[in-house]
Amino acid sequence: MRAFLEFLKKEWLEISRTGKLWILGIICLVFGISNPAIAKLTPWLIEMMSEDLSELGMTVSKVVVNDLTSWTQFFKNASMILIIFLIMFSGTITLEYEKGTLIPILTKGIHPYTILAAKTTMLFTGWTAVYWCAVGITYSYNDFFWGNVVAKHLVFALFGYYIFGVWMIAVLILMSSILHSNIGVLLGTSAVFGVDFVGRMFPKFANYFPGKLTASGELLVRVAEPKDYQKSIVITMVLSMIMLGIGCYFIKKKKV
Amino acid sequence: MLTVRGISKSFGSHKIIENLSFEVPEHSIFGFIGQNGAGKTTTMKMILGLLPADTGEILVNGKKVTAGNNKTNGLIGYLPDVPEYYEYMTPKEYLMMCGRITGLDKKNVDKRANKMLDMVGLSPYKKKIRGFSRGMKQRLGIAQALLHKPKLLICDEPTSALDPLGRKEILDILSSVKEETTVLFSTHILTDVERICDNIAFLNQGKIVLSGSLEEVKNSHKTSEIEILFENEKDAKQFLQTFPEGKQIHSCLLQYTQICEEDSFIYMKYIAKNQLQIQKMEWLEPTLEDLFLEILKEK
Repeated sequence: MRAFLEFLKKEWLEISRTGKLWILGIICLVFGISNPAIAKLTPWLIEMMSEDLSELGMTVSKVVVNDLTSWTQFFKNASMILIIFLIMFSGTITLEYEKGTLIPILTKGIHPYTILAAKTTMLFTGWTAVYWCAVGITYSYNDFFWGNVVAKHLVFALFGYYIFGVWMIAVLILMSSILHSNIGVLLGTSAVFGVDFVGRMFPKFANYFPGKLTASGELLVRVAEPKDYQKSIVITMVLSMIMLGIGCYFIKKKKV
Repeated sequence: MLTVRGISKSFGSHKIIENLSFEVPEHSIFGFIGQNGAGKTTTMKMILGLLPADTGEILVNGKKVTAGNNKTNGLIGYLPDVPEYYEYMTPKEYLMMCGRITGLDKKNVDKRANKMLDMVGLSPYKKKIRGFSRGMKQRLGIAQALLHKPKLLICDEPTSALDPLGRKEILDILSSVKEETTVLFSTHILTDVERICDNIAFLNQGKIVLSGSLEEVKNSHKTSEIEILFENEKDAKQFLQTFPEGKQIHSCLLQYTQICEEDSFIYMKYIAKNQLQIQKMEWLEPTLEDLFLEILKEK
């Protein structure tokens, strides 16, 4: 436990002293603010364009925006937060093996599992903080401008995408335990997402894939119901744990 | 302290180590010598449990090393050939982290970290490791390796890329820790070995081709050559006329090969009787470099 906490402390020092914490903070702010901002600016932008559009024979009626517009924007942007997060941490394990920074640490008797556990904890904590802070900022602005009243099943929908992010991080950790470069890790993670994407093309199986959760924004407009996502949530959580388990197997075998 | 018994290691079809056995006695400095690619680092990684051996066993202080389960590493300190650190940390922070990972309590680790930094001359450096030179990194490497008072210190080519001053500093530190720990030191710089090692082993193509104490190894390959340096050319010429089997290296220096002790007494008697003036007369000792080259040639 002591070794785990020390390594976790080292991970914290790393993100705070190498500028990653600042980047995460900026991502959080930019994405958190941009959702209500885009919603708020939409009527004004359309009004600006209305003259040009009417010259083309198009009539623009009055656009109504509310918290739903902002949350819909949030679910469009969430993938960007996740992609930037995954790219930023794609080398968290492989770079340590590549540079050899883990050699003195491993020869102190720390178990590779402990290293993987500390890295996983830091990534999950980072994702949780970035995602829910962005949610918090969007929620606060929405509440200030319109009140969070129109969007339905908001918490469930947000949780769905969050779990999808956890799964992608588990895939990243598994790839990092198997592969030797961060480019390989990114390609491997993308390939798994690709398989998930292709799988969802078959309507019969679509509800069983983790990627289903990326569409959890549909809950807000009642196109879907929470029960439509239950299978996917359970499968995603189980898959995440299995991937971390396989990651433990490979990290022990990884050549230093 | 360290027993390596019949270990072998292959990567694919390429055999790196073949039935390797040696022992390192307690409180000695053991020089592990070999060319690049001879298998030194692979052997060390197996001792550290970072790589599994295909066959054989390794015992550190009587405890068996199991790859992937680095329990014996509590007894070992390791300095890699090119040590890499978390450059955003200060040396003290790095040592504190290493100490805590090895199980030292907070109070003790602070004391040990300060002591180690003093020993390697890094205590004045409060800045991050990012700006450290190669020599400073090696010194920090020794500090982290000795932090938990290991029974065995393994150093992988610690002096290879250092300037003469940096090399001297590292060798002095290694010599000074001999009382507290046992040192296994791999290198291909033979002058370093002659300077600090008690026991040596030559590794070639994954096998030990020569081993023993430094004295033993040198004596086992003692040459039968003698050199006589005269004060003046006249005496040298007179000697050479009497003993023409010698070779004149330069005007005052003669060399005789394939001679026995009897011959040397005859030479000395002649020199004394004829009152020839000499500066020195010595048996030529083989350097480790000569031995190393000889072994490579034989193979």
